[in-house]
Amino acid sequence: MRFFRSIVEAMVIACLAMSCGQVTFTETDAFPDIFPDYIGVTIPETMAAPVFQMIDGRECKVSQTVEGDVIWVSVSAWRKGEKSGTSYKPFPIYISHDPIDPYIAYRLIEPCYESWHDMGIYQRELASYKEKPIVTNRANNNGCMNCHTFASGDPEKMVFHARGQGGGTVFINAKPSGTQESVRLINLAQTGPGKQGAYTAWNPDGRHLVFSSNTTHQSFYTSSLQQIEVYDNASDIIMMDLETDEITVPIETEDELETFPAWSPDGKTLYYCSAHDPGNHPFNRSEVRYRLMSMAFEDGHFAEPQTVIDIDSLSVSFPRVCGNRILFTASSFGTFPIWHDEADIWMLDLSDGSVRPVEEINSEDTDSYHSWSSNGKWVIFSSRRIDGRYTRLFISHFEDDGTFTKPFLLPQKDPKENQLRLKSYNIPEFVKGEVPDRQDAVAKLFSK
Amino acid sequence: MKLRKDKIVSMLESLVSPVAILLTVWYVTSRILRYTLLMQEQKGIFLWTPDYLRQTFSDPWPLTTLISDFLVQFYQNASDGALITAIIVTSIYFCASQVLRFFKFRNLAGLLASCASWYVIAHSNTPHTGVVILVFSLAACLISTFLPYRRSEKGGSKVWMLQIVATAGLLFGTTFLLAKDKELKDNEKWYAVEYASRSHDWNLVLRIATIGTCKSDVSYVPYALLALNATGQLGEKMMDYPVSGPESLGEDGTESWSNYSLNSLIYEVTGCPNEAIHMTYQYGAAMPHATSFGALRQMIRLQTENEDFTLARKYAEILMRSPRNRQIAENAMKTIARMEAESTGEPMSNVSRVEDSMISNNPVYNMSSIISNCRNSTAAAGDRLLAHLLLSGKHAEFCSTLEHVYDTGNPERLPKYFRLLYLQ
Repeated sequence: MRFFRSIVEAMVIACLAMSCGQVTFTETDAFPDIFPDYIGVTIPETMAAPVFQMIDGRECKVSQTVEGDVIWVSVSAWRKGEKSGTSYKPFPIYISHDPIDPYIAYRLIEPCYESWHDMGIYQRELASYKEKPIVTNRANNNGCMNCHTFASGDPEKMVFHARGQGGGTVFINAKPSGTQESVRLINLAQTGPGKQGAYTAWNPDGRHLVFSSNTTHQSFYTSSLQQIEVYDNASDIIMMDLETDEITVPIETEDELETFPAWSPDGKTLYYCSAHDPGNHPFNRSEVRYRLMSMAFEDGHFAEPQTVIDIDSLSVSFPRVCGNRILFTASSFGTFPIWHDEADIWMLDLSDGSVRPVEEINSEDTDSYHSWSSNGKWVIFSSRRIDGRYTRLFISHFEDDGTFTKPFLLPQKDPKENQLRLKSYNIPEFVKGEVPDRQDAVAKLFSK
Repeated sequence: MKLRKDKIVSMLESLVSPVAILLTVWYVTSRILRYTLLMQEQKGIFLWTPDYLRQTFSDPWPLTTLISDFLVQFYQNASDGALITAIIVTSIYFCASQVLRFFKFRNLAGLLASCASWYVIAHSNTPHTGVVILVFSLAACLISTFLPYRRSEKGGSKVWMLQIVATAGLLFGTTFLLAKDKELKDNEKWYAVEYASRSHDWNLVLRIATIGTCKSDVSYVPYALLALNATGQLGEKMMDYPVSGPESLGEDGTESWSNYSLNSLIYEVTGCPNEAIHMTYQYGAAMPHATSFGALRQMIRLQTENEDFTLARKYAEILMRSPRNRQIAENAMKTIARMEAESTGEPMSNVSRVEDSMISNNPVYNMSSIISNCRNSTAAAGDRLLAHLLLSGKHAEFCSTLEHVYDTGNPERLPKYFRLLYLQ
């Protein structure tokens, strides 16, 4: 009940709880137009209250009744200074008792094409609105930071890339047998096969890290409303044994682009995406379509690659496995779906091979990077549905029947913040606890 | 009667210097640093948003930065900016006089401190320096009130006369130094061209970036050519300017705030909002908060032209969080609503994304693509393409493009330099 009370308190705060004095309300059989849209969503019981406001800026007051696991929210709205208002039909918010990981980690960056000023990897406690930096690019002299990953959601074990002068990949407590805290910087391009790391997947065994190694470029459309195309001139998969720091190249191909590695939860299969390289990038961009591949993994060795999905009209990216299901992003072509408004999240059921777009969570705009909670009951994904440019995070509950509930926008203390923030949320990942502040430790690596 | 007269004299004595400082600094600053102030506002930002405040308070000097950022929004009107500078300088005078109150010549010391501060502030790129000096002065003033020394007696008529002469002398001297300062003059001229371009005041650009100016400093040439381009005079007058090659047109890809700004204007003028938006983001990203008042206003304009009304509204809503820009943002909202109502809903592009061309480092290719792919490409794109071909010495391509862009039936009606090359 404490949780329900906190929800209501927050909603009341959101609607400013202004005295409506002598306002008389006319009842209507419609739901209120609120932002964010929390009507009929399912939220975890430990989640910070979903705070909303009227889209048209009217004042509102909120009341609620609780029936089992459903909160019925009644909203009455009126324009300041007017004597009449509208009472809307109560809407439900469903409470799920399936636990959700307490934290998420993401990168905040301006979606501003080539340059940036401040960027960083941040964490957000889901039970509150508290956001804290894990590490920002002040640690690496304003260089780029990207592709953070945690060992099976362990907040203590983290890997990310910190670019710029003297940059490389930062390994935090990554040694599987390590007992003491360690923060290391390794420029992968200066080791083994001489390839830099990008997208990262950490085997649940804690010992093997797989990276894609991409030569990425971007070009700018002259007239398309989707203004950017990001493409790889080359890409491969490399694997690092964290016990020995040895780097190997599991697949050697001449005319294939391999990227987006992801492990199955048991660590015995590596999924990745591969496309025939038509060359002459970006002019042949529409010919670049990635298919989903897999390779069995045992005792540090990979078996022959197998094609999992190959759909002529789709390019697959970001496979994420949970049990028998793989969520992936599908776009019409290319390797960077965030700049494709047609990009949607799809799901493959490995038990029967069926594939479907997850219509219940997709939107007209870009729906892209996604990640499963550690228990596979929730998924968080990034979407540009609010304004078409600034990526925001949405969460949805995965039902027992294999469908998802209506996604809800990550609640903010002030819902306006979703519109006022000039940064995009990248690479949302669930984490099982609070990640220690890594700013000083990483800064030390760059001060040497 | 004598007592009253003494009081008036005493009041005059204590007011004459600060009033003289206030008026002089205000007038001189608004005259000689007009465009410097306007460009400080273009590059500044103050937003009453959680992100802005969080970032400001995570940077060094948060309080003085906050005050400085808050003040800079009022520089949108150069006269207001000059008045703020004058108030800061005058306040420093009062603080210094108060701190040195035991000193017979305290007002002279205050004068010296304020003139020195004025000189330093005039040479800084933001009001931050002035705010820092003021904050330290106020702190010193506050501390001095607890110190056990007394105010010195009045200095008498000689000191009073000396104060008047010193006020006049020091203010005149500082004005002279600032007016003759080559660095300030050069900056002011450069900012004038940048500001005029960003305001699309092309005639003013041409009045500043004259042929003579361009000859003495070729960095003005791209602005002059852009102004000629925007006013349809490129083919008529471009070779009158000291052009050395296609690079004189300015699309050289240098990574600097000025170059991003220039390129955003080039693409705006030629009717390619996509690349103009790209360049606007680029120069915004060079700022501490990854945006500025100038960038936000331009972004609203460009997104509205590009018929991306959702984003245009987002930027207008953000701009509304600056008290000085609220009215501008509200007017922008009205324009967005009107444009949205008038929008035909047709795509901005003549081609699909798969067929669309991409901006390259080849300006000839870019201008050709803009002409063929952008629905709102302008005549300036054609002229610019011809200018590139002319300056690259591609005669055959120039002639075929000219026949496509202009009616060559009557060559006499062609712009002068296009005609000369065409008839060769």
